[in-house]
Amino acid sequence: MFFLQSTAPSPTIVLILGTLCMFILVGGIIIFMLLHQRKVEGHNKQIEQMEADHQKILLNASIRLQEEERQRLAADLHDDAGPLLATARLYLNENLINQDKAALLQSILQTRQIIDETIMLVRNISHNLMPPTLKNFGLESAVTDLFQKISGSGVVNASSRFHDYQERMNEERELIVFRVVQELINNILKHSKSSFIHLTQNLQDEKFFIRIHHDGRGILQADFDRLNKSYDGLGLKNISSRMRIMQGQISFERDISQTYFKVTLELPKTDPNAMQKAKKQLS
Amino acid sequence: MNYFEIPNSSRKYFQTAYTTFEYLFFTYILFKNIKNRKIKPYIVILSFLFIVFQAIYVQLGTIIKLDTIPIGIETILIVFYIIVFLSELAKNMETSIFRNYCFWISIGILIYLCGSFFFYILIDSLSREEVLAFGKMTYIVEIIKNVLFGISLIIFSKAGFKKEVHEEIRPAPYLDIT
Repeated sequence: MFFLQSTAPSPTIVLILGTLCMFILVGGIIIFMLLHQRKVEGHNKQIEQMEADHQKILLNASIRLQEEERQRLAADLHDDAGPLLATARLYLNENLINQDKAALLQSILQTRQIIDETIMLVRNISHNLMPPTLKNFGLESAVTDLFQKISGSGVVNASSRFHDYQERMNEERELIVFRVVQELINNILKHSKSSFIHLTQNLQDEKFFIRIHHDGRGILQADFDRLNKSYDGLGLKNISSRMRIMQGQISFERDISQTYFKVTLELPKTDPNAMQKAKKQLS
Repeated sequence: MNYFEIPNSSRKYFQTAYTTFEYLFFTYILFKNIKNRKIKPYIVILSFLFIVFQAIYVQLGTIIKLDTIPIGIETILIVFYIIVFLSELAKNMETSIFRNYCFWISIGILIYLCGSFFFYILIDSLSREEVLAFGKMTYIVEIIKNVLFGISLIIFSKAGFKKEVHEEIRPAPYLDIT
């Protein structure tokens, strides 16, 4: 009854109230956008913080790895080369000239044998630091050599094929790629219990690909990301840092047939760091 | 030429052209900045229907002071496009919305359209004094719109005329595992 009895509101009132409602709507939209923007900024800060934490973990891992490597080197030199050289010194003591000829010859031969052993040991240490095959013949030969050694054990069937590696990368990049491959193969041998490992290399669209397939127990991308963010998995963090240096990507997945585990390394064909340096020099 | 010098019979063509041009201009800016490909065809269809409506309205419709119905439809459609654009912008968590020039344009259009919406659709029912009084309100919202458009121009010129580069999804290279 009220609505029937009441007269229609005047256009002025409708205009004022309607415009007011419209401004409330606009104000609501603007406030929502402002609040949302604050949320976005908070979210971005959180991501930056996470990234910084991740960088810190990687840096710590890298330092720890360096320290471990130094300790290993120190242990090799101290425990193996040290005693050998000390023994050689013993044979070459002052009484050597007072010995009879036969004993003297015996001492010299023993000393020579010890020095040979020391040379061999130092060579092995040096080869571990920079494999000579990699330096002299390149990544393809070094990887093939590594796989032949693994196959030689008779436990794992390891093979590799390089399809597009006519032109070698620079020495520094080859060493980084080789170290990543070495670490991956080491992990596969240690944890996967696989019976075969196959590595393939090829190029596409200015990208350098290395794929490693194995039939054992492997990890997936989620596991890699988790381990990479935790304080465990030093080797994986090291892989991550190395890939970052080369501006490359690494992915862990199952192959299409869901039978094998696949690790893919994807790198720019040309060294982006070298290109940046060259650009800086030119400018 | 003064607007009031235009004869009454020709005014409706002028008003229809103005509303259509304004609609197309605002819609073009928003259309370019809306990335959702599902929405874009609807914008094209709605714009086509609006133009058809305008063509019919200019022939058959009667205009007293202003073309109130096309202005009402134009406002509703553009407010809808702005809400679509802003909701799309809100989903993008990567960059600040204040750095997006279209954010300022859309807020400017929103204030301008919402501030003048009821005035334009009720203009035929208002007296001359009321039209003069409330007409000043449209000047305020228009000034705000122009200021916001100015801000957007500064942001746009600072950002440059960079074209977005869409990375192609590359197929995985061939792989042998024999």
